[in-house]
Amino acid sequence: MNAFGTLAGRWLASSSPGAWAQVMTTPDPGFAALILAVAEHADREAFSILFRHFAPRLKTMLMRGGASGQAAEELAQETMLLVWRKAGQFDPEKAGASTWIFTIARNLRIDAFRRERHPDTLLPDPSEALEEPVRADQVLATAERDVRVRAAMETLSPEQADVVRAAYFLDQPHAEIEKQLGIPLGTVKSRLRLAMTKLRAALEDLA
Amino acid sequence: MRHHPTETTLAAYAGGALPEPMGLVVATHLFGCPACRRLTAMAEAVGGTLLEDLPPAAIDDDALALVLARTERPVAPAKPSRLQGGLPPPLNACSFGPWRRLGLGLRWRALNSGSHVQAGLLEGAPGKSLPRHSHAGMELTCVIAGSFRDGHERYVAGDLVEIEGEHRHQPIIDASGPCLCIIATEGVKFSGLLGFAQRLLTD
Repeated sequence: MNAFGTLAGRWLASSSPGAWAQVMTTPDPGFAALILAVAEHADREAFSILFRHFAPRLKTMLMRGGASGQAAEELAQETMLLVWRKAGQFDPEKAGASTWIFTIARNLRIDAFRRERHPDTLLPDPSEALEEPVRADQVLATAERDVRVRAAMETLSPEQADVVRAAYFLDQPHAEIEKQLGIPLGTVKSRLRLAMTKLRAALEDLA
Repeated sequence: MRHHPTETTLAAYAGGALPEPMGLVVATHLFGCPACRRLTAMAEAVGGTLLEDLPPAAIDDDALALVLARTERPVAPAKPSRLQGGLPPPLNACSFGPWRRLGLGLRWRALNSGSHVQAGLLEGAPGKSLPRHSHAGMELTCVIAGSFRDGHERYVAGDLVEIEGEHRHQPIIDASGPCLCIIATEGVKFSGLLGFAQRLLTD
């Protein structure tokens, strides 16, 4: 456990028994419960813990994607502001906390990229049209999925892991990976495909 | 539905690296495909895991205070989207140009995307075929309504056709009804259905 463990522990120790029940059933108990606390009673202390953990990592992610230190700082802050505002939409049964925050940052990065080049155009966020009710039997599947994704990630070869990381963090990934890792585009794609197949196989029997 | 995006395309979509108009074509497919939605959710969980494992960067001392101060300000209400009737939800709020007749039973409606990737809706009348054509670069097509045949394959509503690199083909729309597709393509010339449409428009 990292420093977060103690911070979250301190927060949880002072929260209601309901929060504990939540903790027992979610894949990343601390973070999910903290987001729910922000949603339910605008809990600034819970938000501060989330901020201290995620903002510095979001900044790293955005800088790896090619943003300057200042742009990454602004986008990381913007992402955390949306975490506050959208906390009511967070559903721990559909996505883990870090996955949810990752998608918020991803969408913001797409928006920022568009504003830079074409300030006049507005495309909607297509993922928002895909909201659907969660079935009861998906709940366990989601918790299990996050655990297994992490386990499967650890089985990737270093070469596959490099390509996957680059594919998620670079702006124009495939061509960029070719340049940065010095491997041909065909190899980038086949490694990525193999990595995805491996991850998928680890999840095969889930709903 | 039998035709799906490749895993690398879904990973790029989940990671936010797919050019936006292509993302809209993928989202249109996802709307009707629970299996690919599950894969996308998995690919997003991969993103969450990667984020979790990154080393923290130094952030400004006053960053948290700034953000907390901003949470107190009122949020501007979201702009109402201009909804289009009859399109799948991911395309509902998109801005499209007017329909243009292309002749040969085809009409085209460009998406105002502002991206280097060109995209739009292509509708063909029953039984019509597109002239044989070839293209380079990546092209994604999702069938919204109707169906067409290309070689031995048949594509129906929800199917996603992914073409990469040099490729020659001649799609033929099924006689049972008109076929509506959303297409995004990287190439400008010789780029599949859209390249054909563009040449007709510019000739």
